[in-house]
Amino acid sequence: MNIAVIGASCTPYGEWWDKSLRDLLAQAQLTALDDAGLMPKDIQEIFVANMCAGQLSTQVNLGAMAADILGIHVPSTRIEGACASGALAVRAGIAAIESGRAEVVMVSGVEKMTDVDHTRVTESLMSATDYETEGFVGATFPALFALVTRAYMHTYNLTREQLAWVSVKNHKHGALNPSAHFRKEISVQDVLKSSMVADPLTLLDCSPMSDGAASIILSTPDFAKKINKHDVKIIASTQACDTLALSHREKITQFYATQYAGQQAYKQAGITPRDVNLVEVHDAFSMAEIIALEDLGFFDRGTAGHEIAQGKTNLNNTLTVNASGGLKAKGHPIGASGIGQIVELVQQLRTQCGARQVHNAKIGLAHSMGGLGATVAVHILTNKE
Amino acid sequence: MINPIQHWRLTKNRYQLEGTQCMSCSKIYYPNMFLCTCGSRDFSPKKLIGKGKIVSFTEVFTSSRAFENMVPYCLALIELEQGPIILTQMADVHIQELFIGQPVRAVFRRYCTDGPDGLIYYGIKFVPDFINY
Repeated sequence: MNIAVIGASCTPYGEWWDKSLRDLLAQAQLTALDDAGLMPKDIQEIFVANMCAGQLSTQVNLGAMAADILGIHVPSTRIEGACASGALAVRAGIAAIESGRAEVVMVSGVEKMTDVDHTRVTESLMSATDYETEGFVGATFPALFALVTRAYMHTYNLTREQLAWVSVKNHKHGALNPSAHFRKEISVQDVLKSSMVADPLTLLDCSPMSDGAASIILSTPDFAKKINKHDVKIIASTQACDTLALSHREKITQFYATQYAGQQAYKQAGITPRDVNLVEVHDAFSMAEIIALEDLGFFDRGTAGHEIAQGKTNLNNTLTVNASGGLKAKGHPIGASGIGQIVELVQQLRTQCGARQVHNAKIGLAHSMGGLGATVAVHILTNKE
Repeated sequence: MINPIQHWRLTKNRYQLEGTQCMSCSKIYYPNMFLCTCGSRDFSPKKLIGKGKIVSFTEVFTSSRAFENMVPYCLALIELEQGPIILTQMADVHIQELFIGQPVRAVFRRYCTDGPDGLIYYGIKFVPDFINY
């Protein structure tokens, strides 16, 4: 696979009470155009990722909104796959180019989460579970991840302190990212002392509810060369699913969809996990980062928590994981998150990341998960010729 | 919020723990299945015996509106003796009394209400075997 990323932009993530869904989407789309040096008329198709606007902003038909912002009339489609919506939209954009239908495609993602109180957001996010069996009994997303966490801690003797290091590390990285929702370092004690959400997960094990948008522009390699923007390309894009309900899985301490999408991505790119030197994984909950790193083959089963606590995934250590701060510290505006990960990889591969720059960044992997391991997409990017 | 019509369609599953059994390989599912892992599409309803053991558990402090007046409450994944794993609330117990592998049994309890004038939703919860009423 060889798809050029010729433009990439991300709004700062946070609580933007003065900005609407449309404001955020427009900000990301226009700055992505500027980054690529293109005009709206150059965009031939748009995909826009969003999960909750129907419930939280009473707004669907975001495809039309995204085209409307640019004042163009091209095909524009909203894509939804819960928290993986953004990554799925990237895949849709790639498919449009690979099919020969379009040469230049914009892929955007947006979420506006802070207009309503948190219980309504919790309810909206619950619609990504198997609602009839999980939502009905009072399962929230953190609750389902808490079930996974307890089973994992029991099976692999992971300690509560080791688990906390995931958030500590991601906040350390987020403090270096001017676009991050949280730019404050935290300690293991802070994580342990923060309020309980779903035992054993505390508030600081959970990613925040953020407002934000991200946008990238994809093109054929030929078009990228023509405008001299061929420095970063996508060399793998894969996706897999698992049962919607956690209770229908044989194993709950690993996610088959991540394993499968990861293996297929390495095959597609012709690389192994050892070739990757920066990773953005879906750390919606601290536990999710540990499981993702094992499922993606970076660490042996049951060891990732220990390695993270030892600092192995810190910036410019053995493998930099979530240099952006991850969903935990950079923030998690659902529809934007999967695209925001790609924006981070693009900026890292272009050496634009300042204090959080990964030295000698060559190959980056982005892992996005929708629901509880139910939908997973993996992308691999490189700046190598 | 919970929809009364959606709930009505599922009352056999929720009130009587009715699952479904593959006519070909006898595998049991909860609540239902359309295509068995063996390839069969023939199923018959199967009342499940509400006995099993805890696979994992949690105590929920941040809930949806429907459960706001119940927090904190315990949830557990239970592996039933007949095979299927179900997600359920635990009743009459503190989290400190729960452990992985603990034998549990089904009881019939109230889940939530649709506001002061709305329907009351009932269903199956589980309690540890050591509890005697």
